Amino acid sequence: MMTMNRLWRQWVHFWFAAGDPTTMAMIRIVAGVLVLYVHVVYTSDLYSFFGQKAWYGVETANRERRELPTQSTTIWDWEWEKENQPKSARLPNEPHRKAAILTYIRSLPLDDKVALDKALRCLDCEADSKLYNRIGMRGEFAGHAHMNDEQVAKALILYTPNLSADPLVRRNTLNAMADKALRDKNDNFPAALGFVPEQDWRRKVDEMEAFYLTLPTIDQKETNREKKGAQQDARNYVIEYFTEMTGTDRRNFLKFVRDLTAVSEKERETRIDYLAYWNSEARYALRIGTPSYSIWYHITDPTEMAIAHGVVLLIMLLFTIGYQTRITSALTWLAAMGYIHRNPQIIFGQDTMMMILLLYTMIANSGAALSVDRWLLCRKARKLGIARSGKIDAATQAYLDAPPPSVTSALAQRLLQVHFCFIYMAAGLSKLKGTTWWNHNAFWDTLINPEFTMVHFEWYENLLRWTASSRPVFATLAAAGVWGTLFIEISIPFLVWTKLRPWAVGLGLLLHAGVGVFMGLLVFSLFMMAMLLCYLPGVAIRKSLFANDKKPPPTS
Amino acid sequence: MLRNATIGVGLCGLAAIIGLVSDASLVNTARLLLVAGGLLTVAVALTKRPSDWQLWAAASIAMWLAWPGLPDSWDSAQMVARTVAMVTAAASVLAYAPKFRYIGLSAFILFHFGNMVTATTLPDSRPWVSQQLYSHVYMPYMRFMYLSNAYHFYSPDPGPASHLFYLITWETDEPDFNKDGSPKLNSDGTQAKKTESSWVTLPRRDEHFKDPLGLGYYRRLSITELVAGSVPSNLTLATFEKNEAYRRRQEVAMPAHPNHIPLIPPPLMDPYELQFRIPRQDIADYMFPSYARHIASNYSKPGRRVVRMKLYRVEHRVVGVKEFLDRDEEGRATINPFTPLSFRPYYLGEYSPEGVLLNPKDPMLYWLTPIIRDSNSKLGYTDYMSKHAGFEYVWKERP
Repeated sequence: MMTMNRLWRQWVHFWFAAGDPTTMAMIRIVAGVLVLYVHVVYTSDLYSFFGQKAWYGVETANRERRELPTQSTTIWDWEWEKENQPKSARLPNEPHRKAAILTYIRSLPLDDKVALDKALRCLDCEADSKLYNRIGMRGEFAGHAHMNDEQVAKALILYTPNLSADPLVRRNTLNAMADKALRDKNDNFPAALGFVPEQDWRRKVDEMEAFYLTLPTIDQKETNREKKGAQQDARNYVIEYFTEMTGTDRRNFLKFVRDLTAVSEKERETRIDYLAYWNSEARYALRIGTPSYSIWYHITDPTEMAIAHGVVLLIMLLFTIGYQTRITSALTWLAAMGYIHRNPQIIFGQDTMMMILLLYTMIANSGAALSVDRWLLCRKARKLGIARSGKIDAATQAYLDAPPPSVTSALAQRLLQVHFCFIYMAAGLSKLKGTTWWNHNAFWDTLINPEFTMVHFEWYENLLRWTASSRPVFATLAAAGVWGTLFIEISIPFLVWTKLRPWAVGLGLLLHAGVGVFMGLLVFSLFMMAMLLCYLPGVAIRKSLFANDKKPPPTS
Repeated sequence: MLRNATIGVGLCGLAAIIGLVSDASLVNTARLLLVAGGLLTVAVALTKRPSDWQLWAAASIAMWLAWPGLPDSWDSAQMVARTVAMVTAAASVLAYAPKFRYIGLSAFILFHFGNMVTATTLPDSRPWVSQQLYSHVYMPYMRFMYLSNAYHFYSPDPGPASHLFYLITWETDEPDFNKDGSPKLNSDGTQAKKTESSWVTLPRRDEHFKDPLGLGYYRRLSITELVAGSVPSNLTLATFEKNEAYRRRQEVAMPAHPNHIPLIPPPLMDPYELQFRIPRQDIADYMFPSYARHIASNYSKPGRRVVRMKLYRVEHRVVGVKEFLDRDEEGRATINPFTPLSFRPYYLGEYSPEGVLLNPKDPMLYWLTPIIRDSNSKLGYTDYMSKHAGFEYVWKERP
């Protein structure tokens, strides 16, 4: 119990001890300037990135946030098959095949459950329900040990295109298949039928015909080769769809179409449309839609967008200078999130870091120091102090010298510190999976990547040629670069909690300066550097900025 | 303060009541303003006394009222209102019972970092625990807070960047004529219009690196990186369509084919299965069509409409050290990192301005249209991408 109490006290002290808000205030300023820059740069691309017909258009984005299905595997099953068996019907991925299947689904007798059952009965088979052994079968099946019900069904489906469009001819063929006496030895019958007990032949051929009648028709009188080819393709796609799908997929398909008979025409269309768009059924999704927010889903007129963007920039400016920071920090976070949610296509690592910084500056009372808010409060305190006693008393002076400690600022600072460790640890450990980080080729691959680095400058290219011309020099540099990166990323999460913290922070800054210069990721590096500020004590920041090393007053 | 907060709650409530009466556009604008004003009033009151549980409760009520107060067309803002209403309600409880404050906040901290553990362990291996935590617990939080990044930067290995090349075809208002001066006719007998074509590429350092830190350029690079997600054909299931795709490609590889593009064998080019890369389904289904609509809208103007576009994803291979150091007999470098030979263009199809893939059975769809060394060409290479597109792309020595 004592240990638990001690642990709890240590936990509370670690997270909730009041601290100097100057660090988070400094982070607010640096992050604010960068956030402002990021969003000012959006101005020229506002419509391209967030407009109605942006790269990722509003229509597509809206469907995603409202309809995207989230799937999940089952919690309780151990078996691989059960875990991975989808419940939803699935269509082919290729647009032409998908279109053929959708047309096929719509052509089925969805208003008549009995007719639908009859039409699709030949698909309704279980892979392991029946096993037809070859014992007693004719010699022509010698190559097969056995066929199960599903394999027979697939073979019969594949055979259906051979049936005649003429009802009489077709019936004769099917009768011959079902009755040995009517069969000619030269007739080409599906061998698979031979695996089925003779008494089932009649039923099987009837099912075949019912299925055949649902297939896309081919107009024999059609003279246009292209049109006839398209009809032939449509039929083939349906048959191929049923023959290459797994047993689970087939059962899911059957359930999907059978359930369509029980719903209204509008609901039917909604379900088919959803399946066509997402290739998944909404009813089996764990969750529908995503919790995305953005004003750009709702404001799409270019003029209105420009006005809204201007207001956002103003809010970000106010946040940076620390005016009404509690409100502007929340609005800045929300607004920045709106840009990210609206177009996740254009975001990269720097946006992740930006949102982390904005989250913690929002939690922190980041306007408690180095801000207009603080300046206004100091002015008010000074006035009140003078009004009260004609001079500034000791308590007021202490308040003016340093901002009062804040629990929320200290908590946010701690959260950021721990979060930073997560980032570095994940970045470092994940690299250990890559071959190029072990053979040091990652050094070259990052240094010469034409889209990111400065290799488009001839002098840089020449510098690389000169460096790489000596293999020992190059190999040593590569080793230093790779090992240095791994060492910094994996060790910093430990070193920052020791007396070596200043060195760890210095190494982190060095790494990001390198990433910024040599890998071209300048804004990302600046955000990471802003994060590293969280390890600096507030008093050190005040001392370096204002030569003020006075401690905050004891009360919050 | 409580009085101010009550006014804020009242404004949100008023917006909700108006919403019951009318849904007209002007009324909706008024409702938006009322909600914004109401929430701002409550927020200002709250910042003055952040430890007052009543103000947190008022903020929560205001948020609950903001939900119906906001027009339905602002559904994403309604979602935010609901979320913040729950957060402020929790904050109100913690403010009312300071004894439980640390416990409540500690629970949040554990939840928050649990999210981070889940996010960082999800990619690639997807352990069962992370997968279940993601789908059943963290997914909404992760998405809403944008805390889904796994921080696996440049891992497991740094890869090549990609570009998107669009060959855009415009139709002008001018009539088109045959070489003999007779009017060119469409298949339906109407007068054909003159068409023009041009390449548009993404990203371009000279065009998109506008701001000092090049954000516009990197944003576009993100777009091209995202669509690079593809699956080599040997990792996809054997299907009728895949067989067809191989058959169609073999036909084009025949020297007698009118649009002959050779199938270059290894080691001169990647193995065949890597030359056929099927884009991830979400990219093919949603992104390419959306990008096509954007291109059509962005590059059309009165009298010059985009009518179709061919799209290529051009992977820019990183030149190896040994290759980079190669010199000719006169001591000059034989290759620079921007040589056309270092690009691998994959054809992603031709799209209509509406974003419809025009020919899903195109023999070259998702296949590499190689750029190969050719000593017979005065350029030193043959660019089959240009040949396939039917329009020459002029490669620059460096951007």
